[in-house]
Amino acid sequence: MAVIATTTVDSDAGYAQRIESAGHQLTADEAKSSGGTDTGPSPYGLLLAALGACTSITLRMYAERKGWQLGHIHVELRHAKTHDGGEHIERDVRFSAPLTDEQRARIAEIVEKTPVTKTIKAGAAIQTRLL
Amino acid sequence: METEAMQTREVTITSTDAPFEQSINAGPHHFVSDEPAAYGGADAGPNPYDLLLAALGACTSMTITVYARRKQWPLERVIIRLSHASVHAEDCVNCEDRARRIQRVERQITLVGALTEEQRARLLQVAELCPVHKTLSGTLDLRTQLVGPDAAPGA
Repeated sequence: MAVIATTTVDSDAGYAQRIESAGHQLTADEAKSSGGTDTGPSPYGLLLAALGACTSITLRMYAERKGWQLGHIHVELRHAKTHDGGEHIERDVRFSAPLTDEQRARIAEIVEKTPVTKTIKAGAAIQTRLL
Repeated sequence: METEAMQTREVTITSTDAPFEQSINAGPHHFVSDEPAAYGGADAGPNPYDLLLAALGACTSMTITVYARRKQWPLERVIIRLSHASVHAEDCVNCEDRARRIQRVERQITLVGALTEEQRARLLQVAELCPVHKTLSGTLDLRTQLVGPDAAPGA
């Protein structure tokens, strides 16, 4: 078993969360309209950030190995819930450098293989212990 | 069948001039993600899997807090510790692909406060209802588009 990431989340009263991860501090919160104090992104904001950052980093690593110039990579993500209880994520990926059709086709394949994409699409087993 | 979106959240990620550092905007909030130095990054922010765990942990803690508050239970503080591992599916009897891996997230929840055993047990159940938990433990419809600029001329 290989541990990939470890994170701790700490909260007192209210929705604001202090997050510590490998020496980095983050805050999560809910918007004021949802009863929070809006001191950080919401949990779903962080989920989209995880997916988008992984997408961009993996494409950059792949392009460097291939010697391709992608220029700036810009990823926009939207998470939507529907009236019937379903949910989906839309991900738009944009590059400032011009790419050939072959490169675009290959990148479209690689995007689906980025690690967080696979975790989110396939689902992860979550084991919970109350201490 | 397509149904009209009820609630939408949007986040944008833009690459920077640093090898892997990403600039992230989520509503009014701005932060960065990066890889550690061991993977060629500058460790300027949490890596993508750290953000994924942060999303799950924050959602879990908020969901428990909201429930306890509504019940007026004496919950003073929630601490969640998460780790993500990729494990070989050795116990999978029907696996034909020996290289197959399953993903596992371990989540430890510490509830501080003078709660009864029944209240603690109920809050553990509530943790499973957190929306990000459901998103991660189910399968999600993820649609990707590569957009502009147009392919290079003559390609």
